[in-house]
Amino acid sequence: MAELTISAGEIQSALQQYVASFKPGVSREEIGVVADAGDGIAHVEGLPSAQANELLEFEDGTLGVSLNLDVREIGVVILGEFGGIEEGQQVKRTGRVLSVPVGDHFLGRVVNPLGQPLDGLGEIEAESYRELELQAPNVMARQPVKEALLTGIKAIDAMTAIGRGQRQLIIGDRRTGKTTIAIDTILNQKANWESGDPAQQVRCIYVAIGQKASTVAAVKGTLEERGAMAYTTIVTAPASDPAGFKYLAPYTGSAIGQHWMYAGKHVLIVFDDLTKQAEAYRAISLLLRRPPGREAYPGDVFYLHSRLLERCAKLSDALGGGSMTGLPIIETKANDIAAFIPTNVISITDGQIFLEADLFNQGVRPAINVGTSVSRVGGAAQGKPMKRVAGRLRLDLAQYRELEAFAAFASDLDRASRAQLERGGRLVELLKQPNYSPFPVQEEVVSVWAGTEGKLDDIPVGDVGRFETEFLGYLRHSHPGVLASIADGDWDDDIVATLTDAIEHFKAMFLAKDRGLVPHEEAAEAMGEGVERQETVKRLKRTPPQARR
Amino acid sequence: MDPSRVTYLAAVERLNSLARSVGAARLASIADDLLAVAMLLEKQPGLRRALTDPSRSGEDRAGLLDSLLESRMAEDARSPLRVLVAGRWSSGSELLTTVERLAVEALLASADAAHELIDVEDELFRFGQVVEGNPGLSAALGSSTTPAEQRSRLVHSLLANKARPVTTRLVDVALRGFGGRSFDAGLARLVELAADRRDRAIAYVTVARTLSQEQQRRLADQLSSIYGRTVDLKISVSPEVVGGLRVRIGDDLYDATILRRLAEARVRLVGRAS
Repeated sequence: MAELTISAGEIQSALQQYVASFKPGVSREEIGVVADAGDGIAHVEGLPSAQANELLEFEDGTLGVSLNLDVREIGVVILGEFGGIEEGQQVKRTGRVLSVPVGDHFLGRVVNPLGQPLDGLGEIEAESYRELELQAPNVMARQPVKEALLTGIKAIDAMTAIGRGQRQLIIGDRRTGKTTIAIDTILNQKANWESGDPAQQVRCIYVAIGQKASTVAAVKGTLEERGAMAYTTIVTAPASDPAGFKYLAPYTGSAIGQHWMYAGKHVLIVFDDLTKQAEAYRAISLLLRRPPGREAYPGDVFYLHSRLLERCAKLSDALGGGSMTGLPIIETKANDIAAFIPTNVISITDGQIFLEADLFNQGVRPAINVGTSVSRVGGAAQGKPMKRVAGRLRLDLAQYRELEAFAAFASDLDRASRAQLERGGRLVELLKQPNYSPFPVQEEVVSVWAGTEGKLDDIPVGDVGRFETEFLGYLRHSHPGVLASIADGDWDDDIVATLTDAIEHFKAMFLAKDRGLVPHEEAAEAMGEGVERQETVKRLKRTPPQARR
Repeated sequence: MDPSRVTYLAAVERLNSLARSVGAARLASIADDLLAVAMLLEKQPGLRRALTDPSRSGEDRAGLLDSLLESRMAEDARSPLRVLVAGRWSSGSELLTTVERLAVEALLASADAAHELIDVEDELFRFGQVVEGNPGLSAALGSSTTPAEQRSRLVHSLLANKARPVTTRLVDVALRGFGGRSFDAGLARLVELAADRRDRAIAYVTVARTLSQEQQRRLADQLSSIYGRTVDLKISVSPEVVGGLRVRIGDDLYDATILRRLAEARVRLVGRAS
């Protein structure tokens, strides 16, 4: 290799030329002036060509979104720290309508509503930018919802099934397990993700709005621990963020999801929760002096949620057949689902899962109220086996709840009613499910089948849960073929016969906790005459404790 | 075009034709009358509503105006007002700001007739600079709690024998919140309107050192070729920009100062300030 020698003078002159050739460019910018600022809102004079929802840059680099375009000034929501913004400062246009970076690199990351990473894992490489306010796909771009999105929760998959592209509302008071249902659903997509099949994979987005940062950290911890972060993005605007961030967070999550949906992929998005978004929007609107309406919400609060949730869709095959399933969460006060925001969102969504504090405290978890929970997509989103076995479940449970209230006061019941009560009690027991333990669909089917067909009627109520677990374990070992064919969507007489044999066989082995109620014990013979014995009960006098000292 | 804009242009046309026939002094008194009408409208929402009532014909509304002002104002001052009132307005306050604007136009026309428009413009700009450079004065004049009359006395005491009467009157207009603006913004707008009347645009130039005549001429030529009209430079020297220059025309900003480059470099190096 020849030695390379460049004299110092040569380098010097090359560098000098390089420096001299630098031409600073000056570009025209449009500027305005802050007329007043406060509470996260600024009014800016000037900027005649600013667009609605355009990002504006304040002097200290903070961004804002123009919301009100008035004759002489613009109402701007400041995104970020607003302490440094004063009257008289200059504001620049960026020419960028509010948009966020999107792409596959967002999986496994925690971002703020502007798409900037918060998890300290470095910059996120964006595939492209996507506007936050894009209209939802129209009628021709959609097709009916027909594929199941399994939550892994028996009560939901059996009674209020969710389809890909559906919007299913989760509603209930505080601390009734709303977030848990959403997290369980995300966890249940793990097998789909690991299958590597794009038609099955579901990318998940968890949007936390106004949550405690500790709650979001806990959710992230749970997802990471169970390997679900690999296919999940968390968009968070914690309670400490200004209202502007909380208002934008759902749209950011939705934009990230739509990017995947239009690429033909399946997406699940959880909005936790939209009540707080509506409150943030109310704060912004009042500060911008928009006229308040009912409960001081602005007139377009319905549109705030409807345009967001309409973006969840099942696209037509021509557009790649992607889908985005929405699980908005709404928090009620004192079980009042007739309040303003709950009724709005109920009317927008395709059904709701109503969680009740009373049920939750009774130990029925997930605390789903069967009467008021519905899915307007219903059976179309269920696989054949589930459709066949779950048909009666809802009715049975509803009748049970009715009878239960009635039977609380009546001691004498006819046999039919008593049987109904017994069956209902076991079904309720069967549908209880601890958190973070989603069931595969085939096992859900078997459980529901056993309950609705009365196969559990001779199991003591307290043992139903254990019986179910052990029976499913037994099936996995002894009849894996049956489970596999149910998973493939088969359900015929042969499968039913195999299951019936298996459950009878298993019952003989099952040891109930209470020895006196072991099923299939040989019937005891009647006692003969003259063999009765007499027991005597003697009363002992106890010495008072202090006397013993 | 917006109907209210059409009406305004017709009224200005009437005013300009008037300006060609009467002298500067008469124009100034017409402007005073117009300002008085603006103040009347400000105090009387009922009158504003009646004068912009879309259910009555334009002639009816002009008739109402005449019946009120006939004995108090001369015909030549009423005629541009009649044009305004006969037009369509979306709200009473829109009429109010337009009357005010017309009064300013009359003041500028009177300065123009006296061949002192360029001086008025300059005085307004320099007074703005003085106010900006003195926080106490700026706070006193920009205050919304003290009545306009009191602040007006302060301005009169400052400008007496130093500025032309038209300038003082225009500052008064800015004090009362020209078109709902703050004092500073109102004053800046008046400077622009004065330049506009001379068919000029104004470029506010900030430099670290004074520019030579040659440099000023080149800059003005360059800007004139971009904006398609003669550009007047208002140069202020401020050493804190270190070097380079900053030009602002209307809402456009060309910032090539060292200060700006340093700020940009800092943002790029350490990321956002947060």
